[in-house]
Amino acid sequence: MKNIFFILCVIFSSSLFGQIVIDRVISKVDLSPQYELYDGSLVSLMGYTKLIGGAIDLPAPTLYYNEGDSVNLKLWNLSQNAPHTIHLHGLDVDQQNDGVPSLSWQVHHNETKTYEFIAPHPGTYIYHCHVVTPIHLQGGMYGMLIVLPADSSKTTWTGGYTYDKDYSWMTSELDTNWHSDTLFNHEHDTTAAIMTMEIPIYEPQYFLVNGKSEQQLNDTTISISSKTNEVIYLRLANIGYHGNKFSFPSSLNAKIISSDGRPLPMVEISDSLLITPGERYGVLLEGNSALIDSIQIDYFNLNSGVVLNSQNINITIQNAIGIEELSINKFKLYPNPVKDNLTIIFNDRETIVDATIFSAEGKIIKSIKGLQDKANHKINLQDVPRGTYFIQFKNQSGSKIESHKIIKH
Amino acid sequence: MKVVFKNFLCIALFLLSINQVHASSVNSSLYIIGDSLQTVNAGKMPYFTFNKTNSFSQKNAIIELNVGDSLNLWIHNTDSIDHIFDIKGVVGINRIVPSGDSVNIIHQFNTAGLYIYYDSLNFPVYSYLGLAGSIVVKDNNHSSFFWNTKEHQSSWNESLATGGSVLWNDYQPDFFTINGLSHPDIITDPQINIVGNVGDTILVYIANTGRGMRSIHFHGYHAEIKYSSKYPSHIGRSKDTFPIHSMETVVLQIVPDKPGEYPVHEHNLIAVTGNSFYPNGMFSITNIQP
Repeated sequence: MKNIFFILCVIFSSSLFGQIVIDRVISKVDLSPQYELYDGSLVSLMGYTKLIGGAIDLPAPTLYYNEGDSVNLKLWNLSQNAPHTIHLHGLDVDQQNDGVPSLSWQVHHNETKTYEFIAPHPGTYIYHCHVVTPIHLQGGMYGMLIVLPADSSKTTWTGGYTYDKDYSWMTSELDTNWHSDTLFNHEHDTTAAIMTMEIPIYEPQYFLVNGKSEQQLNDTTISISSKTNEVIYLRLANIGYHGNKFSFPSSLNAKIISSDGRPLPMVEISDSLLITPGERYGVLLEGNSALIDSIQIDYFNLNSGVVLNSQNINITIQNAIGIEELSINKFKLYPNPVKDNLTIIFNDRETIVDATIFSAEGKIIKSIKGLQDKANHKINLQDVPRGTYFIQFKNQSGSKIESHKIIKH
Repeated sequence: MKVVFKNFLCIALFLLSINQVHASSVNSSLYIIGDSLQTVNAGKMPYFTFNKTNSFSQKNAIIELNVGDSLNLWIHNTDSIDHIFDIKGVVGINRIVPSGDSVNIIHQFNTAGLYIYYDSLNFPVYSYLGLAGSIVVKDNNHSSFFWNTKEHQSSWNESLATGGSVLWNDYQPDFFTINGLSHPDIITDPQINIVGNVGDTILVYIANTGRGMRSIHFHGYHAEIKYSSKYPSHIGRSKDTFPIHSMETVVLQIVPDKPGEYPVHEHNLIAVTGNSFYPNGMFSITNIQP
């Protein structure tokens, strides 16, 4: 009887105060270019993986913990050359576990060290290397760390908002000139308090959301697909060196509810949101009617204010009972924004037979028939004025449709 | 009814007297002086500052007041051209300060916060060249630290100081400073490096007088926004990373819950460099004792 009572106490206390979680990431450097960008270019990466043989992904795997968990996060450094660390950005851990080499320890080649912390407030955080930070972070050593409520429920935090679906978007940029063997194999003086290093000029060519851009953003883990009156929880984190301006369609009723792992004292209702490097935000979206649109992210230079690039992520809100969607994995659409020719590549061309381009006012701009005849199509948009348009694909019977927003520059 | 009114009057007079105890007239001087900013790599670039004495410092003067204080300020122009003195967000200050002459400004500050004074001549040229500092208006006696962040494209300082022009859209700064200093020199400024004890209430006053937008990240602690010149609705937010627009200010409050040494730095990591070298930019360390 006494033993049963003891076991019940243990179970009760662990559910109340969190679990002991043992986790591991491996730091690696892939000098041979293998990470594919939207235009087919390959770049080498520094990064974290979960598996020894796993390719480095961008961003690194998202780490999930529950509020109150006692986390033992091991870092096994399999990369050659410079040591690495994990800075637990925003978790307010103690100095020893903060991952700053001059104020704590660093993990050398083939060493394993463990970061210990209690997962704090539910929210969105970042983990990244803090050794020669500009180089290692741009190299790819970053990922999201999400703390869920203790009961893992679909609530923003204990007693917070409930949601139906959640998406996590981590924005960054990539300058291929920083992904060179010379930089990745930089000299490292392990006796120096802080390693001093010369940094190249930063002129990124790629503007990323979860390591992807342009047509890659049609990935189902990034583009939003939902139903009317479903609540979408969007976790946003900027780990780039530029600012981001998010523009939400007004019909999504965006509510900014949290930042940097804390609820906002006053909810902000706004269709736009600025996020500077290192910041995180929680946004609730809810469409009351069917919608095909996109969320635009402008990447702007923090010094000049100049917008360098814009990326658009599709959002489709369907009526609870509606037309069946085509699988968005069946084709690629790029570049978007487009200047001259819009390219469509079909993976399953028999499904889609025609496409129509509409203006924002619903006027038909171009109709393309017989798409099933070949896998690649180029649509000339040179004569189309700058602006926002929609391209709608249909199958043979017209029973399946799918629309995407396109920007003409 | 009479008693109630009497009590109300007493309380009102008492509150008024408390306010008046702290409010006073504060005399201060600012000297406009042109010289050079010594950079972290021992280079130099043309630079102007507002100084408390007729002696050049590459750190603009910080004027500290209490709420309700009346500032009696003399501005002396030692430069060879006229300048214009103004305080952002305060109406009716804008005054030409002729070359070799002085002007007097008297203004009462009734709202706690952080204000930027600056030279609005050919804005943003002379403000960019260094002429922008801060006025702290306090309503408490907490331990306080004062940051004036600014960045520079050294070749532009040379050009603008000799009457040249620049394309602001092409701005690519190569030096990033707090109070005129970059890391590791930042460590020598006691107004930058946050020190205190666990449980202290610490205020960090940050003015961004540069052209760029800052994103300041605190390790170890979240801080509460107590004042924001651009976004008053953000007051009360608890965050670890703080955007600060050009020519705007924030006041942050930290109550450390643990001892330790933690970096505070720009998270646009290009701003943690100086002349392209990491970490010779905006990088400081907080030191909290038990």
